[in-house]
Amino acid sequence: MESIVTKKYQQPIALSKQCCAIANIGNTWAECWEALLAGKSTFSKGNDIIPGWPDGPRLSAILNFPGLDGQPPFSQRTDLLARILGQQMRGAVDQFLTAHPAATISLIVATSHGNPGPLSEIADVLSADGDMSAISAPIWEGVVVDNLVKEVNAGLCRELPGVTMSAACASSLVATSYAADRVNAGLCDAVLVIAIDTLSRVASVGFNNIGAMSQQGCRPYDKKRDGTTVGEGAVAMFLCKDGLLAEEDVWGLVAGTSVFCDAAHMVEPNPIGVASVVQSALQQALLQPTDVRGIFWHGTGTRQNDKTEAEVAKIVFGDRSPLCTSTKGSLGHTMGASGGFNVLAACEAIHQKTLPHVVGTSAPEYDNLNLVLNHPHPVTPGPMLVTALGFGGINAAVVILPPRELQ
Amino acid sequence: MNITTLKNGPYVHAIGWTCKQDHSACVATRSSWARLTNPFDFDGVGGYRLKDETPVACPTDIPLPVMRSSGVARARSAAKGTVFAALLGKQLLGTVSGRENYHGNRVGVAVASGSAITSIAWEFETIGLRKGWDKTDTLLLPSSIPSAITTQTSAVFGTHAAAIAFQDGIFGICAAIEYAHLSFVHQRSDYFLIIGAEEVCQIQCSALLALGDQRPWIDGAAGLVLSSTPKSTGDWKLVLCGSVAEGAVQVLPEEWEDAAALEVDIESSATLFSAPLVPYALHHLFVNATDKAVLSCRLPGRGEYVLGFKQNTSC
Repeated sequence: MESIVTKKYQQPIALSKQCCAIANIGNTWAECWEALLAGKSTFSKGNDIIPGWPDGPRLSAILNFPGLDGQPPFSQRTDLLARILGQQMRGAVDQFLTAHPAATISLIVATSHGNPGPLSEIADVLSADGDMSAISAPIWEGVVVDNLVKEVNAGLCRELPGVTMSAACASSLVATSYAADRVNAGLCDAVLVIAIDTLSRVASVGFNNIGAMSQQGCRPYDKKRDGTTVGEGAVAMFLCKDGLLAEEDVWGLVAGTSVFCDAAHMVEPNPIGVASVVQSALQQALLQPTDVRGIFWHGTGTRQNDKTEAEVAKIVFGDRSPLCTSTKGSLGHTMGASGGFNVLAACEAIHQKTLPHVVGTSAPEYDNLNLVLNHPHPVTPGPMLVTALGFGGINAAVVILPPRELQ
Repeated sequence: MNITTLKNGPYVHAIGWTCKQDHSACVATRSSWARLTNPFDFDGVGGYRLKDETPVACPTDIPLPVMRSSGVARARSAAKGTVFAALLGKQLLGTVSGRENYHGNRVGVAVASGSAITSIAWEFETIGLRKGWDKTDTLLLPSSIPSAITTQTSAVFGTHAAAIAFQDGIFGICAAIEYAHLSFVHQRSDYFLIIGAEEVCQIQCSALLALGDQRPWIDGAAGLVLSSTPKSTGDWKLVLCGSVAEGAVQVLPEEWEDAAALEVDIESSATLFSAPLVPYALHHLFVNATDKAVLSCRLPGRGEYVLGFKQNTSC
């Protein structure tokens, strides 16, 4: 399959250092990065997080919601997380608009499954006693209103024009591509991308029933891997036109993005389709495969995902890939948010000159993948590739360059 | 607030929708779309109503042969909205698929729906709670996420350039149109299928009733084919595109003061059943406009989304 020849960005799109992340291993990006380097992995029983959660393998759940005592009600989990992210990015947005009062900012919320809580709570009520009068208006609203843009804006104390989009587990990277295209086309000066997914009963039970959930904890690319660890997480990224951020605030430059739906299978990835997005993103960035210094694969730990990525690496990079890793042994699979964590990790890797290792993996199955194992590994600052694979064959790739001071 | 003027906006090549009676798709290109019978009345000041006031069945029921004819894999486990999107999308793409430069790799799909996953997730959850989670139907999993409606229809059409789902109802489909524009200007695709699709599901209708919302229930799909280049003189080109916050005043360029205008106001912040309104509204607008047309969509608490089209004078 030939890669799509995409028009080059006029200037790479700047990614701001101002970001945030909330996951099982930390409530800030700095905490998450430190935990990744330390090989920390915190997986929890669903029932310990949300009462009545179906029995099943451990999940990568957010243990502490910033500013909250205890766990929020299931129905409010997604909306609250969206609002918290808005609050955490408020300073960054305010600061940007103070520096550039005429600048225009838009908001893109990326999610794989939206807010599953209200529907689950209504099902719980119906299943318990069927007294639908006990269901409050906010719960009913949760099944007919898309609230995520509103919640992020409430946290920001602004009314940014925005939209919520979904591209399965590739949602973050598709949103990154969408945001970069918006800026490059001059539709706005900056985009706040919020990638968010919270625990979903349908996803965790469904993944378990098809044998895609790990019983022992996610171990990407390991010979003994037995699936992924489904979870939740949220990331905020701020992308803007080159030149609008102070040099020291630029964390990375988005030079190439690609989206492609191979539509080959409902749940299984296709190596030809994934290779195509990688090649297109590199082509847009005017890079050769040999230019890539590090790769953050989707790396879910399912047999099919990891096998596919090994095949993709052979197609694109030949017998030996550049240094590469997966963050899911530590973060679990944060679904639509997972690509966002990897974009932040790629920027951090460039600055720290370090790639985190694949947590939990000791006996890798694929010789052609030059995986970082056992402990973090030094990496030369240079182009980083991030990939994401979604159900239904929706795949995406993003190429990130170091800021100019590191090039 | 000024609405952004696009440099190389996309062209509306075809409009269509599924028919309420038999779920067949009615589709037309510009030269013949005046002959399409629009099932909606728009009063021009925000209101809209279905001309046929026969109550819509709840839940949506599609005969098995129709489901199979949609081409959707495992159609019985898919959302009804996906079946509608596939039935319509095939006909819409049929207006361009015979063209010399058409290639599935260069065609994208974007769908906005507020209902496509609800009935799937509801069935999964209620069976899990009543009979046990190990009794749930694993075939429902791929259809339980919002993007399934786009990836599953892309599989039917053999289109690959993008498969993205938008939430936010009427705003989502406007954003999908803008996404197509971005895809074209970055040379990621040549054609884009934009669809709003809904099915009627009991739990969501209960929610609307509980909230006192009396909007028309829509089961079916309505959509557009956009192209990166004009296919005939007179094709409508997207020139203005943008949203303004609640309370802010939208300012159109001076030369747009005489444009034909249509407003669509959604009754409450519920986004359900609002995505398909845009193709119906654009059809209404284009049939009655001369050379410029502006559609303004308002959603309480979210502001206004404005789309401005100009008729192409050369090809």
